[in-house]
Amino acid sequence: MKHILDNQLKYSGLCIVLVFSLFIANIVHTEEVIFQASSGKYKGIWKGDIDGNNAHSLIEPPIIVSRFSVQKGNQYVLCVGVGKGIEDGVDVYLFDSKNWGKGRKDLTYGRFSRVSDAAISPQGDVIFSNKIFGQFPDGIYLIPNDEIHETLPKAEKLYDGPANYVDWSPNGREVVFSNDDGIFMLDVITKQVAQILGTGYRPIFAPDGNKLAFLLSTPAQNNRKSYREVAYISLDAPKEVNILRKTKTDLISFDLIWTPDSKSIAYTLVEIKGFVLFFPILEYTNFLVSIENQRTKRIFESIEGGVESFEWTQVSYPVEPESRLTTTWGQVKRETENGGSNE
Amino acid sequence: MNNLLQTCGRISFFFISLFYLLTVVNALPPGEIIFVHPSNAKEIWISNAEGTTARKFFRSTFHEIKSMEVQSDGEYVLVLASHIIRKEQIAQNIQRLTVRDDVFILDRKNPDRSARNITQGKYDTLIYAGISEDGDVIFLADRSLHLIDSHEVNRRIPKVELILELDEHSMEYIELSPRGNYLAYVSRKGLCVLDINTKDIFQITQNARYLPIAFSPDASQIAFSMDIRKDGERQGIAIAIAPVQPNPEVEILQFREKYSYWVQAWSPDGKYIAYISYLNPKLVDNIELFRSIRNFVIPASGGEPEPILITIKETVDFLAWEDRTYTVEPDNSLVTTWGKLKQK
Repeated sequence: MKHILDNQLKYSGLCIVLVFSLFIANIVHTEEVIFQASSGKYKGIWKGDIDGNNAHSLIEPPIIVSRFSVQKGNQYVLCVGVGKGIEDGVDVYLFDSKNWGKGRKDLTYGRFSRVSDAAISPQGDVIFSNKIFGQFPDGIYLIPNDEIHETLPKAEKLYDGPANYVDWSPNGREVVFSNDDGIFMLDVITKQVAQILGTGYRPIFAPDGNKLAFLLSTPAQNNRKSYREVAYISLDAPKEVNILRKTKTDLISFDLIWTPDSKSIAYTLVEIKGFVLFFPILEYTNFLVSIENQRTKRIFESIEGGVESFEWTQVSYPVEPESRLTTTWGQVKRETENGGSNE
Repeated sequence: MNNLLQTCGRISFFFISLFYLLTVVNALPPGEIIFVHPSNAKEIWISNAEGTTARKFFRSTFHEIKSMEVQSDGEYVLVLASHIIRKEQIAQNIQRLTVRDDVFILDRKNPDRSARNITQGKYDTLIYAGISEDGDVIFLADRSLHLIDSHEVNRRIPKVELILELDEHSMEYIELSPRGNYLAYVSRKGLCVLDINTKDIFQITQNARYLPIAFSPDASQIAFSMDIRKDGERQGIAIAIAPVQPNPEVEILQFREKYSYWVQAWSPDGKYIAYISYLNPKLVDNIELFRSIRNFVIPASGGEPEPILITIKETVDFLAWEDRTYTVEPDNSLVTTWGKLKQK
């Protein structure tokens, strides 16, 4: 009898340890980020937590990453990379997070001139926006998931017009983008475009699919300095703009990221610390702002010089049912039918 | 009846196979392209025509490569390049570099072997260097044409022979014919050809642009750039070809208004001409126009151009065709081609 009890105790203990282990593992995954830091100490792409602890190098490609986009399910990491050294141009690169040693896959190879922004959907479809010679807006292109392994992947033009920043909806059916006329939504299947807002830029979908974060810019006037604001809207009420944070300076990075729980937004301030010859030395300070109480929190504090761009590697929170987004999108379309100068 | 059907089937199969084979062959010329990397003129690279196997070819690097010639039916690549001869530390973090132009020879069979300097700083002004099929090197330096015989090329100090002192001072964009018997150049007198053996000079056309020229592999034809004018106003720069003979009939191979085309090289089989297509960036405002600039090939008999070196993000200025292919070493590749790795 004692033997049976002993065994039961052992099994119970093991179960408790297992349960706690899983819990701890989940927290670690939620906090895990990939990042590129500004300091020369952190060359290439790194992995760590949002405090900058446990950082270790993943790969050192000859590019400066201007944006990370992580595929839900975590296989692929997409980067918009500015070439350095022998490299040239701004292109879209794919990394296999299960095999970083495989290197990068160039998806655009300069064939679309200068890429402005790019993102990968949970299904592995890639969208990107581009400008010819970085001056003339071209449009938004789709590289379907069955093309990403091709040597020269084919891209289909989804939208012919100016588009600076792009992001996928979590269900992979819509693309939100911004240009000088505001923020727009593009239906990937019908290619219909509807205007969401007449202002704002760098729109980013929340992982729950119900909210959009973006930046607002107010130019300098009447001896008042220019400034930028971090804002968001709920897609249920897209005209109600919630301003979270007004920055003291207009030097703000274009990196804007939702936390995986869709409750906070990460943003980055940039400061010029000096010059080497004519080149400015930039310092990045990274923050999280809560959409519930507007409290801000420093992140990446232990990373010297701050982080230029980053993204969470795991989205461990369940995404809202897809029908919810479709309904919201339908409402948006009705409200803004024929809106925007880019339709 | 069965036999008849089988025969018909075989004939159909043969023609279908032939059609697909020809389609593939027509798509892009076979072999590889050796080129000076456009954003790093220190290095020589090699790639298939599409650019998907682009990789560094020779281990040797230079300060700046000014021109490159590939020996037809041989192993040598001739490079006219500046190289650093002295480094001085004049302040903290500031170095003064002294560079000099020389002609170097590289061996395609041994790409890891160091480049050999065959002019060794003996000339003040090096303008051009070319190599014939037989391995004779001809170079223009200090207003004179010099020859290094193929038997001398491998010597530690090659013997140099002066073959011609030039009256013509404005000789530019010089090209040695593959057999080494003709030297074509552009000057104030237009596109001219010098017969190296007889020293006779004849004019191909007065109307050539100061831009690169290229002999066909059998030297029976020459490709060059020429102005197209309408009412005295330049409409663009076309690719023209002409037989290598005095005052021949010139044929316009490729022309598009506002574009400038620069000839680069003929393919070893003589079927294609590689060229650069240039359009003023101010006129390039959409992706179709953007895709019409950079490096292309066009059939020498006329036809639709095809883009080449698609993965190289800048226009390649110096290239030569290679009818052989070399082993792809992904480690040297600028970008890992996942497709190729999968195949391996």
